[in-house]
Amino acid sequence: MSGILVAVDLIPSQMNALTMSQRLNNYLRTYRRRSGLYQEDVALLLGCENGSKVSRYECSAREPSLENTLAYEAIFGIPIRELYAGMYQKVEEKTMRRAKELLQKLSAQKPEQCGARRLALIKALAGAHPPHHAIPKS
Amino acid sequence: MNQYRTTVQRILAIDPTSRGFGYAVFEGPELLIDWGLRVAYKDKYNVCLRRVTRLIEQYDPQVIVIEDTRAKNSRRCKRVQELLNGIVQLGKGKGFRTKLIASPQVKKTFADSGASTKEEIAGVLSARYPELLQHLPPHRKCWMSEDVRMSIFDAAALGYAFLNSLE
Repeated sequence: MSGILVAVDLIPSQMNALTMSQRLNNYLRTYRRRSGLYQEDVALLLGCENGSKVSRYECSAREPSLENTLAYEAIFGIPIRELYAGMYQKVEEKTMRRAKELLQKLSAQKPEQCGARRLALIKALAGAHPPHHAIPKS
Repeated sequence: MNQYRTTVQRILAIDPTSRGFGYAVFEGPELLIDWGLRVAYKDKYNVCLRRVTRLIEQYDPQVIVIEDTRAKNSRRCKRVQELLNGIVQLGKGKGFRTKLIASPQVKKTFADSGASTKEEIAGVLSARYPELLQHLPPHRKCWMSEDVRMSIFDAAALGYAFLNSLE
């Protein structure tokens, strides 16, 4: 087992590659531990029988119901998209892809047939800008 | 939307102890994702490697940060040196990068904060990451052996020193 430890020096270009990775699927454990709560405490707050369900939520073995997800937001005071940052990223990318497809479909139509607000929203989605920024203020 | 696609550098820092190891997982210098102790009583080498593997699977880190035992003032025993070497090999096998940080580099990182001893470094870390405060051991008297929870802070210090070196 003996041997010489090998250090791997990271050059900046390698670090840039590292920055492209995905975020974790969820940060439930992080925020629970930050708040000092035990799994049993969170289970009680969610209305679950014991902490095992909470453990499964935290290791992504099980997805919580919408009610429990909202309860998590209420407990930690963190938006769902931050609690489920990795999942949000994936869903966002999928939605962007679909928006691009929809935009391609709509490009075959005349602009006046599409509707300005609708087109602005879809364009913004395809370009990954927040949708609420795309909606023109009336 | 774009603010959530921030640059991510997830690292796993490990500090072996006589009973297992302490670990800290960072996502950039601001976010401490997880921290804790993993204990092994028998067959420490294999149990520790299994637990490190589980952490790697759970957090999928880009870099594993461990202590450089080749450094001049390192006083790590042979078992720990072998364990750290095993972690390097594990990282290689799984395609992770392993970064070795020497103890003087950690101390240099915290020198600006006026912390030179392990206890002072732990204090600085718990001020920066208040979630660690509950694990901060009481002041160690000269006749006391080191609290096992100190390895959480040692791991966090390694991780922080590495992230600091990137800036």
